[in-house]
Amino acid sequence: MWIRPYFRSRDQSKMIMKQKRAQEEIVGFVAIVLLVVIALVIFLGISLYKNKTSSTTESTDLYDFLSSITEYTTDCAITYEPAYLKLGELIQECSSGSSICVSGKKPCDVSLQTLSVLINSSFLISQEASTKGYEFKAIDSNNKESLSLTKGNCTGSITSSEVLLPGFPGTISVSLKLCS
Amino acid sequence: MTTYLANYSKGQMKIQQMAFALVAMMIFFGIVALFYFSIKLNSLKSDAQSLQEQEAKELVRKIASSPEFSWTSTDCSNCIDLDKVSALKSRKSYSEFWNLDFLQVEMVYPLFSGECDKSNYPQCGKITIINNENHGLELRAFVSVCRWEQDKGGYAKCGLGRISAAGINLK
Repeated sequence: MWIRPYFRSRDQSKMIMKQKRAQEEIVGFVAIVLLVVIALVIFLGISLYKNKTSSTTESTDLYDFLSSITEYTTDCAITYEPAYLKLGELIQECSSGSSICVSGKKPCDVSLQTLSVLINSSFLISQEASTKGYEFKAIDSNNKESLSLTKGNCTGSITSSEVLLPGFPGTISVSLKLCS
Repeated sequence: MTTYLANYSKGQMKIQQMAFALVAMMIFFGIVALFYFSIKLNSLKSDAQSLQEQEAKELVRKIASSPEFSWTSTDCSNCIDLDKVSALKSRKSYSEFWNLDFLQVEMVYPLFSGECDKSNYPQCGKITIINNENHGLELRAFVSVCRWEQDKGGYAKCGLGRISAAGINLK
């Protein structure tokens, strides 16, 4: 009766060695591919993060809008009618907080009411539209917020602009952010 | 002899394997580079388009500040005189003055509807100065639309408007 030897034959050992070497090469190749893929993912991640952080963009359209609304004639006159103030002047009056309109209304209330109407007439703002919300602010030189008007959610990319109005003292920064 | 041949074919196999690996790597990097450059090219195209748009909008603003449109009673760079614009509409000689296919001033607030004419002015929504057929993309800019209001002894009243223009010069 023929008994199978315990030790492998020389050919069998050679075959196993060959297979092992081929496996090692495949592992090496996969490792290189994995390294390249990881490097690419990191590179893409960094470039996308850079894009995300610079999501606030300055808009000349908004600058035009802000410049134009500061010239808008409101229905508030401080001294006599019809010496109606422009919206820019009314924001200055609101910031100084000393005067009141001939009609008895407060300059800040008239400013907010006018601003809300002007912004809503100019931009379609809703959750279904491309512009989801806005943020209007008027801040004086002492960092005091004299006017603030917001609507909707201000997340995602932001388009903004700012104009400066003369204040007493310093300047008043009037800014508008549109969020999409 | 047999051993020599076997070794020779093994070396060939190795070279072939390496060549295939190199080709695969090159193809892989080529695809990645193509992907990268297509993204870059796309952003470059959009940048160029936005620059072109900015330039066109500057032209629209320039038109708004031209003497034929500008409001000169107060120091206001982006205010236009609605009475002047209304007068321009009736002058046909101005239809080719700016070399445009479309030029319109519309009121945003206070909002009125309809084209302005002698019967409804100033309670109207827009004044179209030039309106050629098949005009291109309209470019718009916000402006203050001012006029002299006769009520209560007279005062300057400014509303919010938009100037729209289209034409070969704006492309």
